[in-house]
Amino acid sequence: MNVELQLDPRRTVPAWLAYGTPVLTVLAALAVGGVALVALNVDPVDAYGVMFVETLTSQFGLTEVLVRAVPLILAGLAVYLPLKAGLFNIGAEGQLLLGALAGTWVAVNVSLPAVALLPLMFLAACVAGAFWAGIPAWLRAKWDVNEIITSLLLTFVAQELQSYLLRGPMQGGTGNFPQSARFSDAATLPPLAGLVPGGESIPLFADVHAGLLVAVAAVVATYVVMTKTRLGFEVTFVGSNDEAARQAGMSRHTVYLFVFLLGGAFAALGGIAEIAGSQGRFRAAFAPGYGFTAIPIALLGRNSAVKVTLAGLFFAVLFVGGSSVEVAFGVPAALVEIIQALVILFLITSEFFKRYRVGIAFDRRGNDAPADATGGDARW
Amino acid sequence: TGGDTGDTDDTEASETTASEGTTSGTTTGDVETTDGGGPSEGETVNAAWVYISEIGDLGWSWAHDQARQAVDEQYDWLETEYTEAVAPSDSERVFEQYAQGDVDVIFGTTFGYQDPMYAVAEDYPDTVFEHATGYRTRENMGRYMGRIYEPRYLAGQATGMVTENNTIGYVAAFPIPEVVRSINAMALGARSVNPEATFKVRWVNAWFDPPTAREAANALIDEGCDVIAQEQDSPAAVRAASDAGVWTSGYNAPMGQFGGENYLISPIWDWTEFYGPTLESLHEGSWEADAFWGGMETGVPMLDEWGPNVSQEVKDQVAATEEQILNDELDVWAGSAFEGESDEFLFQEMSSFVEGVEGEVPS
Repeated sequence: MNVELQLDPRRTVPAWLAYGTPVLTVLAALAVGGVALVALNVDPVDAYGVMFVETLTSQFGLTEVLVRAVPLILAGLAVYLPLKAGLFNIGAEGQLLLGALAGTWVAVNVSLPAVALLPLMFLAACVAGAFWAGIPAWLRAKWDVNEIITSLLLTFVAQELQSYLLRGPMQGGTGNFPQSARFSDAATLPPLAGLVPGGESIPLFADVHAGLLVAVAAVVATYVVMTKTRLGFEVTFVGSNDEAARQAGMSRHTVYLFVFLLGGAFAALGGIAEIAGSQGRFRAAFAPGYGFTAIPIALLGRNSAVKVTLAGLFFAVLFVGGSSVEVAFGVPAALVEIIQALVILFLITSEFFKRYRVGIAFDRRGNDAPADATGGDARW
Repeated sequence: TGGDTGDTDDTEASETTASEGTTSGTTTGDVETTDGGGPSEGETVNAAWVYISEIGDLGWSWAHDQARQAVDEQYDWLETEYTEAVAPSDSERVFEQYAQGDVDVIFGTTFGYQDPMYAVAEDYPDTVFEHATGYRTRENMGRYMGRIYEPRYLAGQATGMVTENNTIGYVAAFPIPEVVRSINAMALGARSVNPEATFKVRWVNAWFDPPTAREAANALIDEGCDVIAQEQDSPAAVRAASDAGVWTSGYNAPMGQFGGENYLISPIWDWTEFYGPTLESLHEGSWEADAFWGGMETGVPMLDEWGPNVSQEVKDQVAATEEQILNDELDVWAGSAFEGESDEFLFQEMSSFVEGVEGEVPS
């Protein structure tokens, strides 16, 4: 008997599939993770209650999710934009670090009032991040050097640069610890409460820093550029078929540089926003891989900047909720990571089934044919 | 530099009431062991530990968790919990979550938790915080560490006596005072018995990174080191030395099982001797924020068991010196560039090597 697997790309994804898949796959992943919880004598329903319900219904949980989402969304956009042009930016982590370094340098070396200092810090971060992302983009556009490798390797360079700067020229505070000096008040992102009209009355805004506004602005800008402008159209066009785009007179060079420069700037904003908003000083290893988590975020959200935002928020819930489960139930850290990884794995797998119709055909003639037609195959 | 130093040692006796307040207000009812023995005046104490690496690291976090289990076993009135593998950048949330719950005291066991813990301690004045290895305190936040440089000095003597090339390799974590202090103490110990001994240092730039630690150890062995010492939260460097057939000394936890035939001895921690009295004082309502930096006489920093092939001569030498340290007859820093320095300097400002250590502390 022959079994034939046939994969047909779907022209359209039915609505029930589009919305049902993520929900069902997350539930399926949690069910698998539940086995491990049961093995550790933890009631999975209780654990998932803490992970999701408590995280999303308590002020503490929501605040933490929004704070965590800022670098995740911004780094997610940094991967999302090149993805639209058919490129993989695996180096968002490095761009984030470069942005954090440049922003920190300004924060601790320039004294200006907050209204001038914060924009200057963010500008410096953008320039540094864009520069770091621009290298793989230029190499790809000009010499066709694989951007996956260059952007990834530049992340390691960025990490070493961080190591060097935090132990050398940028080291601050008492006693040779690998960290920068503490940020002054002027260099610290204020909570949202004071910035948004009526913000004081919104409880969440007391503890969520203004970096959230930066993330929202970046999402809106990305959305507008990608859907309303000629450049955005060219990005999508080059991403779909760069040969056709070339024939239509579009410059691959411009598009590649554009997506990487803007993406790198966004990742950099994520880095400096995290430090100026939540950490208060640049500590070595402040970023637990936001730039790498950005890759599944962008893959899940690749249809639009809004979906990147949703994916970023979802990952923030996973991290914050996962950490709550650890604290509440004393389960090993590895278990929470396994559950998070299962969710990611299931979601990405389900994306495949969403995009392809899988047909399985059982070819019964195989059984009826003489045995040597299939078994004694002489062509080998 | 930042405003850090001003915060040191500004603690006075005003804390007792705050800790009493928490102990009584929150924890009745939901605990099964309150009816047991032990001091009966106080209520149940709920204590939480936060670790930077997994307790299976067989090193630093493992040692703290052994002590947690020991005190949990020891006191009927104590309930403990822990969270492992918490990055410093994430720790503020974990501290806050514990503080919002019914936890009376939170122990944070890595340097990187200092600022986040301090920030949370400000917001939760009724919760007691204890931070290992840092220098900031406030009325509801104490700090603790042990003078591990004493057993380091002793282990250093052993390395100095067994080395034939007079070259000892040291796989180090970060170039911070805590680590530099240990390297210096070990080198002073080695040179007290072998003036020719020199130390080569490799920085891993991580507390817990077994592959890099292993690589660093191998690189040092290739450069001619015939003894490998380490300050890492894992036994990877010890294992590498054992594989290469050179002498080795570990850190944090007994590492004899990884060092094999060439194992010397390791400076290790018994934190029970700190956690026990601290939790008792909380239970009795007499806790005060202070800076604990106990030496070998407290039982916190100590040595583990000798490896199988160490000569009696080495053992006798180290035993004699240990006796001197316990009797307060020997100052590890005597005769070095750091003789007579204050505890504050030794603890948070030591940032250069003593004679006999190659190279410079990166800065």
